[in-house]
Amino acid sequence: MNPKLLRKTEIAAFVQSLAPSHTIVAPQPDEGQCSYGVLSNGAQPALDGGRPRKSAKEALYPQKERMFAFEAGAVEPCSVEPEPPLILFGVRACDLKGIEALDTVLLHGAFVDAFYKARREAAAIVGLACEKMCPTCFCNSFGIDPYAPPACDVNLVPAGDAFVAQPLTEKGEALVASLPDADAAHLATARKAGEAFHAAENPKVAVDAFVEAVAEVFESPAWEGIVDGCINCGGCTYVCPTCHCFDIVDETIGHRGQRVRAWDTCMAARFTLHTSGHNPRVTPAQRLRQRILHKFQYMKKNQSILGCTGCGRCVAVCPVNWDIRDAIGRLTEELSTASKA
Amino acid sequence: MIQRAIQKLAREKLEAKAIDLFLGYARGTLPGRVKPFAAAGAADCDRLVWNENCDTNLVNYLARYPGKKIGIVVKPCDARTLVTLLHENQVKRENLFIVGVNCPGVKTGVGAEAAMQPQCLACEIRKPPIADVTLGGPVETAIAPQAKLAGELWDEFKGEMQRCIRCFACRNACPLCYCTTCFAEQTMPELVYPGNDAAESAFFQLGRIMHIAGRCGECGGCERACPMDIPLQKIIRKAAAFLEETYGEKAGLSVETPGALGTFSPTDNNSIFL
Repeated sequence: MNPKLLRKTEIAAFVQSLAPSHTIVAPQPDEGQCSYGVLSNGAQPALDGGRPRKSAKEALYPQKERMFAFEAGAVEPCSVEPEPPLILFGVRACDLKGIEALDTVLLHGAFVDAFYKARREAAAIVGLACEKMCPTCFCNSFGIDPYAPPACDVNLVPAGDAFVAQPLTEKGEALVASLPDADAAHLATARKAGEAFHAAENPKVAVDAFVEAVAEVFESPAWEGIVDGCINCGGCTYVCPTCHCFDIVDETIGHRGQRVRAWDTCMAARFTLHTSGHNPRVTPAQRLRQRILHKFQYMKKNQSILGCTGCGRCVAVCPVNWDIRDAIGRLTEELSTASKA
Repeated sequence: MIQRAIQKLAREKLEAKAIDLFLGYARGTLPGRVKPFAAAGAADCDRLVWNENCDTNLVNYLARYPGKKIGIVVKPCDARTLVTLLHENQVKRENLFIVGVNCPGVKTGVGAEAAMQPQCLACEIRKPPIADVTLGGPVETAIAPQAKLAGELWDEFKGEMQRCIRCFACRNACPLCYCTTCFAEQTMPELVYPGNDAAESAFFQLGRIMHIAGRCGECGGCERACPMDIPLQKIIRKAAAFLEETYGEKAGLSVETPGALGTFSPTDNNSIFL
């Protein structure tokens, strides 16, 4: 498929040309950083604003979703209300990998999530290659290459005053059909951007060794050793591109109500609170173990994918500098020593 | 200087078994970040750091060590929250060895990029109201005079609540939020439904602010912890200013008197009650 050229001055017009039939979700300025959000008419996506605060998962898998409504004596059956199809525009490679991970759970698992499926299948996804890594990024440790990204229809590669738009699927090819072919000069600049990115990558975290070290572990004194200052807030899980656990509640007013699915976080005590009042996961160490093992052991076993893409958001937002890269290193060392002993 | 003094004090107290552990800061994993660190023995004390990035309020960790004798580093705002906890019988004074540090404000970033954290800009309390040892020279002036919080914050607050993701980092970073079960996570009845509805987020935030008004030491830990950079302290300061105007007291400054919420007099101003 021929690479196309999207000039920076023409991005707003191009995006708007797609908008009549689609809802566009793109990075936008947000209090000094940027966040993915629905792009209002004529607005310019913030493609140079760095890594968005939260991952792109929210567009496909919102924090709160109504499943159905009810009134005393009657239930309005579950319906997936038709929405205009989404175009996720300017999605970072770590988030693309995150969508791949969500797909394994919500789309290709034993249960297909109807809400996710409807959005996901109708959506077109335009990736955006990063020019450089943030200090907290470690996507390279997972073999993620923003210049050869996973799961997207078009990938945008920076090329000076323009982006080279490389279609990767038929859907992507149709999306950028109106754009001119990329010229040799811009293709060369884009190639250089990739080389510059790879030349300045952050040091890798030894993920394979860690996955091996935690493959069979559950009980271990090592968990206590990594709690550090963790205050068990849910910031890390809510900004994560792969965390997908949810809670289901009935919101009622008088005789009416709705059943809602909302993100939940394994960092919170309530996550595992039983109706009886018993809570099998009471200590911060147990909760951290859950978060780490879900990502590096359970998803590996059950979905054949890791639940971490190295986006580094959890590191960036943590109020007490709890750093998963550091924890991976320490746990690998401790668990490997323990198994040899 | 201060760092060496902290290390020395911690080492002496741990070696003398006067304390079981010492709560301070260690080097973080990112430039301009430190992490909370509990030194359990004299050998750990070399890892204790002190620099202009030491922002986390360590008082938040005291509840983790019931019955233990603890050494702790506090800035003036941290010390104010500690005073509130003492008044509320959450910690015992005789179990604490308090190292206060006079504070000109903490910064984000290092070197030429270092900038005063917004939470510190209007701070007027530069000396810890409680300490066994106070380190650092006197710091007199507020960096920016406390701006009068005039006008209504309601519209701004409502807007900000659209951005709240209910991660509860604000609450969990707060030493004064020590309820075993927060009203926002109660299940019977469910006062706040899970999710990110702005109205429910506002209900949670207002509930929390009501709970800490008159107790808050204004350390800004809640605002600093917010992954969405919601200016929580603005609203909390408004509540604190109201309390001060109405009852003539700033929270956590007096070890002797228990603060506006801890006292009662028939002549109290009742104008806020219906």
